[in-house]
Amino acid sequence: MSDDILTLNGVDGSTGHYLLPSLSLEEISRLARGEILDSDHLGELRWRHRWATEAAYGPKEGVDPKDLAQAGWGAVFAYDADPKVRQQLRPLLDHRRAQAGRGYREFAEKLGYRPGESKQQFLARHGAGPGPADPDRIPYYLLIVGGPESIPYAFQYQLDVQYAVGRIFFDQLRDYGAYASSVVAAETGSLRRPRRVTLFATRNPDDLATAASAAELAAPLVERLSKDRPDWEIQGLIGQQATKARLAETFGIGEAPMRRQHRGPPPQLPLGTPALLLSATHGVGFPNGDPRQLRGQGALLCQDWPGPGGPEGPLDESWYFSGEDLTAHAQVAGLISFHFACYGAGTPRYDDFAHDQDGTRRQLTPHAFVAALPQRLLSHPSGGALAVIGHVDRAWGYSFMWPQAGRQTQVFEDCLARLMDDHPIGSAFECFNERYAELASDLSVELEEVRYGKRLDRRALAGMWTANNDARDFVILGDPAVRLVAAPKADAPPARDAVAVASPQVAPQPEPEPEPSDVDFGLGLRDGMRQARERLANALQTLTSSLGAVLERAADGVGVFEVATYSSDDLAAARYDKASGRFGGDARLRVLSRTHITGDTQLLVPEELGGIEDALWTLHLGMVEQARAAHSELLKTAGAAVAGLLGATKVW
Amino acid sequence: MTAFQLSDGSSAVPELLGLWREDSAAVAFGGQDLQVWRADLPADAALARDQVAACGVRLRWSRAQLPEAAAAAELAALAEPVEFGAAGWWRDSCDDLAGLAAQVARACSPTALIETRVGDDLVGRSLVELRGDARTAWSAGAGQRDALLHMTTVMLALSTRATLLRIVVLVTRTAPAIAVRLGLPFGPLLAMPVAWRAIQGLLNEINR
Repeated sequence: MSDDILTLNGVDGSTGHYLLPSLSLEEISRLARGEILDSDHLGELRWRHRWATEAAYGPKEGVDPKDLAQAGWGAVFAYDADPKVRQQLRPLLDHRRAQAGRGYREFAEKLGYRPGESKQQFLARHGAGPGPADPDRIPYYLLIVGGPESIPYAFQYQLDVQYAVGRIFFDQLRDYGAYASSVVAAETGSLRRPRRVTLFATRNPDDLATAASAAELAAPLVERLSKDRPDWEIQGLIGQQATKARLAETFGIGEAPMRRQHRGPPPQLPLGTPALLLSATHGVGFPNGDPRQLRGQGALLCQDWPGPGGPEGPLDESWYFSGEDLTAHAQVAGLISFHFACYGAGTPRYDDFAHDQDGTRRQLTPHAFVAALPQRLLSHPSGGALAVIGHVDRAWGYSFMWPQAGRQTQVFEDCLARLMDDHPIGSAFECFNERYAELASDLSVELEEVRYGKRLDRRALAGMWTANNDARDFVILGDPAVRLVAAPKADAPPARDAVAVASPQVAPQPEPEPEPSDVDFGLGLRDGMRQARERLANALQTLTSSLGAVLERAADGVGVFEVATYSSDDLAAARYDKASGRFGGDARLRVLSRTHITGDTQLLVPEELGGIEDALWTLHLGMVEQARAAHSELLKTAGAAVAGLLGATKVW
Repeated sequence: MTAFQLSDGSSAVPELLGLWREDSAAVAFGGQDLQVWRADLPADAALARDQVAACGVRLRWSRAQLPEAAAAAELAALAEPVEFGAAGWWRDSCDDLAGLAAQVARACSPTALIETRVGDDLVGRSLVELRGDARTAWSAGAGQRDALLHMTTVMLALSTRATLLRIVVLVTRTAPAIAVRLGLPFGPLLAMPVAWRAIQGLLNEINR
């Protein structure tokens, strides 16, 4: 499954194609080898990993992370933040001050975050060094207030290693007030969500990524939680049930008209909003600077998407759920939502995974931002969600699968279990931080050994590097001290037969296979069968090998490709000369395009040959688009074919 | 080296996805790592357009039906007893699948050379590399109509290649489920010809 694991969750909304990795394994491994890890941060990650493997997650010994009076709570503002933001947040700040007592801090104005400051510099300025959170110096729960341009995502990742960190950022001042009121109301009022966890996972046609996340993440979680948590209702909306209309219901929109009409069958027996939602879908992305990027990037692509084999062209907005779909009818107060999707939480300015040809990091967006859907969820005028866990940048299969080891859902299970055990979300999220610490620690050891002569395994190193960045990029949006507001056990939800609860589709496990020598299908048939099987085996092995070579070539220098168009008065004589890379005879180069995988294109037109005829122009533009689309599909399908062949032929 | 010739619908020999006829005659261009896709279209504009359009519709329909084919393959496998052995259809299907594997390997050669001829005139010649680079030589006298015809030929060739790969993916994904349902030994291996037979039947149905 190692090829599958390199499949990522994301679809370009402007083209309907995958958001492809822009580097080959060779290039990724080269990047990893050149990776300059902050030595302070790395030391702390190693320490964090050792500490967490020997003790429970959380702040320093003796501090109960469920008790804010012990763990402390603080808000971190940018030094130049608008004071009106604090005013809007006052109800929440006062509420937390009352809970945390002496452990309450506001880091604002001159105490606030300063531009370019690292986590270590920030902590040192406030009297704390590396190591477990000591609430006497810095509170364990820290709410960053501000956008990623003023307080970078990198600072949040670093701080999150030892502290329980969340972030809020809204475009409108009043949204801070709405969020503060929602949290206070949820924690002091009578709002109780049903004791229900909904797992919403698409399985789009012919799509490897969602096939894997539905089968290897969502279905096992439904199965495990149903077994371990009988006092909770576990609802699985997987595959065909994971439509946009069902997601709207899950956000409490119910029968109310949506902004865009859903084209599928009418939803059945809406259950309303659960206490906890986990979605596993593709996230929608757009090219750098696309006008739809701010409002649409990180939207959740639902089952309505017909998959990569569907119609060519931009994604239809009726296929994905964005912030604009969360109408005023939605009922999301008290919800905690976890979106496993590319850009589900936000987008950094520069790509964490891909670099341009000159080695600089590829720009994803004119400025880093928080995704619109979680922003809308948290600031909803009818009462906002309490928190959203999501992914900054692109999400990868490494989050729940590992090469050779297969399914790895323990981190997700632990996080959900701790939430259901009344841990604040920041404390429940520690298992993700621990995973990041472990991967970073392993990666640093591997890099060190490679430097000292260990044979380089490019695939393994590229995988570790990608998995490390992937694990780092999970973040909490919202106050890290919020917890589920679920009805007590006595108010258990209605019996399962009263509602439409989907059961996970768990594939039957095959019986252990007998050794080939133990099997005979009948007198006289065995030889013919063996011969046919051997012929087939040889053909498939040859095909696997050929496709492996195809992948290698297709991924070679995948960042940029060239499309050239020549014209000739005698085309029959215009043979292509591979050595010179040109057509011979009288063929003249008329247009050359250098297209980046993101769609950025440089067009070169020789001046001396004058203007370009319409026909040639039509042909050239058509070839640029076709070459790009074909290459994208080739990478995907050849990878899937190799993975399938390896899996199907492994018994030989 | 072989070449695929775009079908005009009159061929009685087995065709690739109902679109291309495999022509093993030597071609005059390129080296060992080249796969030639050739469309010889009628000089009449309407006929040429109809021919490539019909091929495009057929290809899109085949691609759209592939997800359904997986489910159909599972059902078909349950409905029809598997006849293993020297003379059974399973053995024939093994050979068919081996043929498909070889065809896919050829279709995925490092360079695809795609040529469009309208009447007696060669109007476009494109080389498309696996890494995405493409070079096209264009006949200086050709017009918009020819440009569109050549673009369609390129699309048909590249989409055919991708569709073949999708079929491989589908066979490998369907086989494990069939193996479990039929209780076959050796994992998915024995089930792959069963899956292929059902998928092939559906594709043939589409082509008819």
